[in-house]
Amino acid sequence: MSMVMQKKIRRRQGADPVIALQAAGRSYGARRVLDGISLELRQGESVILRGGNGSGKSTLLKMTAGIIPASSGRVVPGSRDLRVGFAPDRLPKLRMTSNEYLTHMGRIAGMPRTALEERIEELHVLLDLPAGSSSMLIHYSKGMLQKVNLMQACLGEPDLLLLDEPFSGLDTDSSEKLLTLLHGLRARGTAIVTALHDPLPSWEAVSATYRLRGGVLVREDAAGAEDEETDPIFYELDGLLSEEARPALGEQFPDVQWQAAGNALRCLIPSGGCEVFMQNFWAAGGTVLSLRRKEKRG
Amino acid sequence: MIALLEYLHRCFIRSYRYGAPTVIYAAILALIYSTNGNPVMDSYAFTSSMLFVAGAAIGSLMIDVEAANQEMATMLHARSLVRLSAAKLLYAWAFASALGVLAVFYPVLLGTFDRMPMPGELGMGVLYHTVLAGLGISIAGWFTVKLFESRFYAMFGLVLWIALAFGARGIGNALPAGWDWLTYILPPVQLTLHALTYYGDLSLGEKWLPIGAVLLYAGLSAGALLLVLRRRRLDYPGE
Repeated sequence: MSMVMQKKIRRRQGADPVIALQAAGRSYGARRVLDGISLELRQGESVILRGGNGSGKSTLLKMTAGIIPASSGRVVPGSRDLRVGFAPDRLPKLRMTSNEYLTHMGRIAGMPRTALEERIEELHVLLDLPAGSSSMLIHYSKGMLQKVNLMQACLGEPDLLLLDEPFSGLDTDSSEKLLTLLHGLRARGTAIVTALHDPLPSWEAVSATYRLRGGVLVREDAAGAEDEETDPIFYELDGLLSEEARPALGEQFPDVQWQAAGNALRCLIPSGGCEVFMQNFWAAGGTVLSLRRKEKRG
Repeated sequence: MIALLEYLHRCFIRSYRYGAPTVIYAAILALIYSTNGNPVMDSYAFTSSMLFVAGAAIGSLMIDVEAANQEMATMLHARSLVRLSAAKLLYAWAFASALGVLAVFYPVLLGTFDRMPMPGELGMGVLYHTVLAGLGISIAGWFTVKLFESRFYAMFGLVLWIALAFGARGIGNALPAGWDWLTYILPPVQLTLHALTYYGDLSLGEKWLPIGAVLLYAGLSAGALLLVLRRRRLDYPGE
């Protein structure tokens, strides 16, 4: 059996990584955006990238996809014929219908015509977008454009799928449909990297979460286990709660910081205890006005 | 490659980017052939050199026809930036060559030449127009936002390079003895202009030499451009 054949079989069995980043770094002039990133992705694995604006998430996705070169280190694809799907943060408004655009992309990728037509139809149904619409993308809303963007990335069932803020602009129903699509692709062996801002429990449950801080990639759950004091994540809850209920809740959750915010109150909750706190907050008759995921500065 | 060309055709036509260079070039043809009795090869010398400029404009508009995010997606579907960029250059060349064919046959159909051109002259006319269109496109690929920090500097560089190409003979004469070889760095437009202007006085080899020189220059320019893009990928300097 040839070496190439053996490698293909090993990759199919999940032994070899689909892609490996070996101390990969990226600089723009004197500014070092990514520093010594090492990461291996195997078939069916999912990784979530988190980080503030400008932390380098998009740059890392582009470097992994091979769109931009690494300034240092290496990005090693598992095979020469690795199929990479990439959904940038937004697709521009094109003077084409979604069918025309996706047909062009599929044909450029070398997909057979019949299989391509079926796949385009299937993706339109999966993401709830009218197939065969004569409307050009210039007339599409942000959410509809995002669906077309995601469809082009998933068109050929890639080995590696890189998504930059894929849920941006999608309503709750569409987000659920996208999650179903992603779970399906993952089950069929696609390795998926998603850059995310907002919490997404059902996707986090099957993914390893990493955070980009100062250009360095840190495993989020591992970092939390090592030292909870340095966990940069917390939740900011604005809500209404009676004066009588506050002391009991305060005693029960000594790590939560309480602040007055007008007639309402603001609770700063460590990431680990958010779910339990919320249950007790509601049980005490509290009303949630907003809940935001936040990151400590510095 | 055919799938890429079909996609780029749809992008280019629906972007209306072809409008300005096509209309201006067509207007130039309409203007110069509004009178009768034009000399055949001198007219072709003028229209082919204008097509060099129009080709540069078309090439410049074509290479950046996709927005950055759109181009990233297309590149991954094509699995090669070199293939995508080569398709863009090829499409721009085909488009500009069509204008060249129009420039050769328009005055013949209208009968505005001083005589009926010979078949050989028509063939050479088409060849000169086609290679000069390709020359313009091959240099335009260098002056885009992919390699320049701003579109303004890219356009300024392109206009300057075109102006230097037209002034190559004068620049060569002004340079100190032994330094005139520097003009070989410039696009060989002067060679084609000279050959078409003195067409009747030249041997067959002298008529073919400028075509070979232009093809060599355009081929080297396009090849080097594709190598640079392969190394840089979509690493825009303006980012």
